Amino acid sequence: MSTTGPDALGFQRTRWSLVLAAGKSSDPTARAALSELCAAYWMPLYHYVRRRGHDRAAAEDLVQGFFLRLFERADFATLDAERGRFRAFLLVALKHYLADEHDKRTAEKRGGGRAPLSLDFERADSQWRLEPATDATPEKAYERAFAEELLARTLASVERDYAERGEARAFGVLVGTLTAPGALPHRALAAELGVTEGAVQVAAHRLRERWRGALRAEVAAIVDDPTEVDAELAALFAALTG
Amino acid sequence: MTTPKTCPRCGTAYEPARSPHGLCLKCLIAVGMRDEGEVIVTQGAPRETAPPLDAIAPLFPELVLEEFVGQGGMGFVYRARHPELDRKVALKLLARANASDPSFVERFRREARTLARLSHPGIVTIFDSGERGGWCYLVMEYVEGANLRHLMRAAKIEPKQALSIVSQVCDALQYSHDQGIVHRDIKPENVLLDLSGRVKLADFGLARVLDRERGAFALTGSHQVMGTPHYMAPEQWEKPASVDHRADIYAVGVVFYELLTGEMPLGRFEAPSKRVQIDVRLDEIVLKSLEKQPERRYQHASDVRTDVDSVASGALPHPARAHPAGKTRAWRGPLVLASTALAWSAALVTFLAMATPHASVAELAVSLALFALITGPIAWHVAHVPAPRTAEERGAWRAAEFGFGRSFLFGLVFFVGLYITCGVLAHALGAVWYRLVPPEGGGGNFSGPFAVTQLLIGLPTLLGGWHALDLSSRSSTAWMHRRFTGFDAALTVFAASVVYLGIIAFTLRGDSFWTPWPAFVISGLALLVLVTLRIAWWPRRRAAAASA
Ligand SMILES: Nc1ncnc2c1ncn2[C@@H]1O[C@H](COP(=O)(O)OP(=O)(O)OP(=O)(O)O)[C@@H](O)[C@H]1O
Ligand SMILES: [Mg+2]
Ligand SMILES: [Zn+2]
Repeated sequence: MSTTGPDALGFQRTRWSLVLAAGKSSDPTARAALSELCAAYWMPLYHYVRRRGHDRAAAEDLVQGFFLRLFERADFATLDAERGRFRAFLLVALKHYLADEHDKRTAEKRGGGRAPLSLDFERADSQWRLEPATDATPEKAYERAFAEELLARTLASVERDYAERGEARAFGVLVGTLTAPGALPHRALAAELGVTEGAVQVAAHRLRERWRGALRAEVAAIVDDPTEVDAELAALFAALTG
Repeated sequence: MTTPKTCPRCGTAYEPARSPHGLCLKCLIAVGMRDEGEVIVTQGAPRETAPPLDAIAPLFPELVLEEFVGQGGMGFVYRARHPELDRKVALKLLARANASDPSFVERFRREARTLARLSHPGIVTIFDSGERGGWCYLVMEYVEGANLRHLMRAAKIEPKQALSIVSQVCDALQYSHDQGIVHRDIKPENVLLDLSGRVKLADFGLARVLDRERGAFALTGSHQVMGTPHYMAPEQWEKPASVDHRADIYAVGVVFYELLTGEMPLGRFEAPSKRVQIDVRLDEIVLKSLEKQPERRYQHASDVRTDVDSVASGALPHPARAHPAGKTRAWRGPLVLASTALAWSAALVTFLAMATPHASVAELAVSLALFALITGPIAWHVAHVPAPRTAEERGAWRAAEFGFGRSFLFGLVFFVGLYITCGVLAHALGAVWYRLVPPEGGGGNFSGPFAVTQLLIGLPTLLGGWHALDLSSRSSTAWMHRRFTGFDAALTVFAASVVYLGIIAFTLRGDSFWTPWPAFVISGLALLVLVTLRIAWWPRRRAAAASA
């Protein structure tokens, strides 16, 4: 889903690797890929900025301003250490931006340009308000929000696939088996769906494989090398811990 | 804000309103991770437990079930005896929860059929298979020893041993590839080592019979990826349907890397020689096996083997010596010799002291010295042996103990030889001593022919015992445990010496010439104390480890 077509080698190029390969965001394909990634993962940035103590209005301005600058300057090409992973890159880029902004204190100048992305701050803010009042660092809040966003997006896309094939109800009934294989009584699920128990088992297994594939593909899209997928998954898993 | 929920599977507290469909995010992410099982297990969730022996024993009247051995993705493994055929077998049960999944049952049946077609010393032989009481089962050759995972946990494996293991794995794989069978699940758990260190591959359960199955009934549907994640070749992930024998070669590369460095080649990994001191030629072999594209990999398992063997035989420019483990092993021989020599000079001094009048104080002192020499190392050893806690550790432990038992036997032979030889020397020395300092009642019963006979018996026994001891500690799987090195070998020789002291004390009871009673009694008592200590020690250490 989130990968572009296979290249000549038969391996999938990820979107992030596409951006990195292009080097400059002026390349239209790379630019499109980058804006797609940013559109998907801007919300964790909002969490980060809020956690740093900015109020809602300031946070909205800063996130908007950050994206303006990102697309203007293409300064991602210079952030070598963080190149491998989009998640790390995005945060470092934002930190640079915030530092600059702080130095310049040019808050009144922001908001002049046209925002490159349409950002639904309403949703971001309601998510933020669900955030438990912990003393997590802004970085931790960012990582966590990133993992949440990624999982929510991916699960939504799997759900969409099911809905498109008219299996929305099956998805709704079976989705609980993803995190609790075997814990839900297959018989009850079978009765609910009006199929045999065996069919439920097979369907649950297929959902699991679909989820697994979709999740790995989504993660593959935000790292520059497919072999990094497991490391990134582990990092996301860690972000959800504690 | 809603109330937080606690995930029943992993125990994490989370906010259901913040997660899609109120699912536990950690468990959701774990599904996508390569080692999902490990993640969940380390989170402390219960796994399906193995059925107790007496629950399944009635189903297998022809077998005497002995012990639960282990559990994997496919089911449970038990050790059993087949009294009729008089041999040990391994009984593998398919986890019952999966038995109602038709594809799982089919996969199991195929494991049996595939295994049955293979006959090679490096591959676990299958005897019987079928379905009983809802369990699919497989009776196969029991491999006494440990799996490679056990050994890797027990100790860092030396490069030389890694080469030997990889070479043997490739040999068995080449055979199965020649039969058109791809293993598809090569990983340390499926590489068993018997007690002489020979490799036996288990679980051709995921193997696909290339020529038969294509098109007919492919269990591996296009979405369904099977195999063990970390060891799977990229194409096994990307296009599981088109996997061929080169996926096994990739898996061998992963195992090889892990054997050499102790780590998995994840992400952008370093060449093995950057992590540990090994022959740089091994880098090439490992990296070529780990090529992402099958075309760039080794094309045959036998080619890997040829290259590995050429490095092994090309007398590694002592890379092993640079390794700390190599050092320990190099010291084994001298250590045994030195400690034995020490013990024996003590025995000789005792003899000389007893041969002079008024020797009782000296005799006691020397006996005590002997006692300390024999028991001190044993005490030290007991204090440093951790108790096995899991089934896996017990597996590794069994392998080590066999090495221990065998060393003890050979040590005994060695010691008998040593004793006789030294006895002759003592006789000779005694004779010289009596010439110089004639005792009052005359004395000295040294005879030439007797000495020669003794030497003829003693020397070959000594040399044979030594040789066997040396050979056994090199060839048994025990050599892979760093714990079982020179020190342990020396210890077993000492333990043997206590036993022999006892034998001598009884047989020479009436002999005024040499009475090893004090030494035997003291060391025997000490052994008793040590055994008690050891038994008492285990639960305490276990508790300490559990609370840590
Ligand atoms: N024939 C055998 N003889 C002795 N021990 C065996 C034999 N087969 C398996 N074992 C032991 O039992 C353990 C469990 O085996 P099992 O094959 O069920 O799981 P696994 O190898 O960890 O995973 P998988 O199901 O993917 O093969 C193994 O790790 C191995 O140590
Ligand atoms: Mg196995
Ligand atoms: Zn959970």
